[in-house]
Amino acid sequence: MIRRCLFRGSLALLLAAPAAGSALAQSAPAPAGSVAPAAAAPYAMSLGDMMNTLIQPRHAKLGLAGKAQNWTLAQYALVEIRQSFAGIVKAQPKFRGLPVGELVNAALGQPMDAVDAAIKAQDPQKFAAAYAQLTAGCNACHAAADHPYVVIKAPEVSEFPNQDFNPHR
Amino acid sequence: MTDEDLNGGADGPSFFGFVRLVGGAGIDDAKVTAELKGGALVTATDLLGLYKIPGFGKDVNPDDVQISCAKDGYKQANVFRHPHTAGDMKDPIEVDCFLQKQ
Repeated sequence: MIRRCLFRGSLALLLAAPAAGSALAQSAPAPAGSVAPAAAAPYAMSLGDMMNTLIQPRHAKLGLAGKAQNWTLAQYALVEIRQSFAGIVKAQPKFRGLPVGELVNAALGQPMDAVDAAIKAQDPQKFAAAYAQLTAGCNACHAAADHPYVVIKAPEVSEFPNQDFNPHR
Repeated sequence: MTDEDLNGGADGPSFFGFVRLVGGAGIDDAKVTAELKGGALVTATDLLGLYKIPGFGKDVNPDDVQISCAKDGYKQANVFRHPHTAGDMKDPIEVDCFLQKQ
């Protein structure tokens, strides 16, 4: 929550910055001979950025939720992964000439369905097997995209000290 | 990040695609052959069923390259060449190959 609040705060500041800059430029003309400040450009996230910020944390949260048998949270994490991939495919349809959507489908389509089935069955063993399949799919996709050194694994501990992964009713 | 990566720096056409079971999943370790007058390039699919064939020479017409696939216990059903609208030769051409069990 704190992290999210800070992020939102930073984003608001970034969005406000160009407007503030242009107001300043209008009220105080630059002295002759000075170099005009470069206009702020929007930051385009790379596929790596999107994987690190949108997918990897959710993959970890899915694993932690499943391990804690918090099936509601696990289902939520899986839906978020699917939605994130849908957005990523729209934002970057190709990577190194390869169709991102087809790669994601080939690598993760069946494993995500298996994870979904395990969650619905509330079966920890099935979940562990399907999650391992999903993780292997991540790595197969990385290899296909010439990033075999990016090796994903099931999280051993939570990297989210401010989130409880245990089920609460 | 560019298509050049798949092209291996060559000036001619490059190819990629999936080898799949008809109506099904990708097939790993399938042999993929790109045939051209005077020779052929052979590669194999990865775990996802994906293959990549880096760029041919700039004089090669992509329409002259025939892609086929094979694997023990399977026979080739069909080959689907995705429409290649870009005039840029560096844009890789997607050709999917479908196998069915014998």
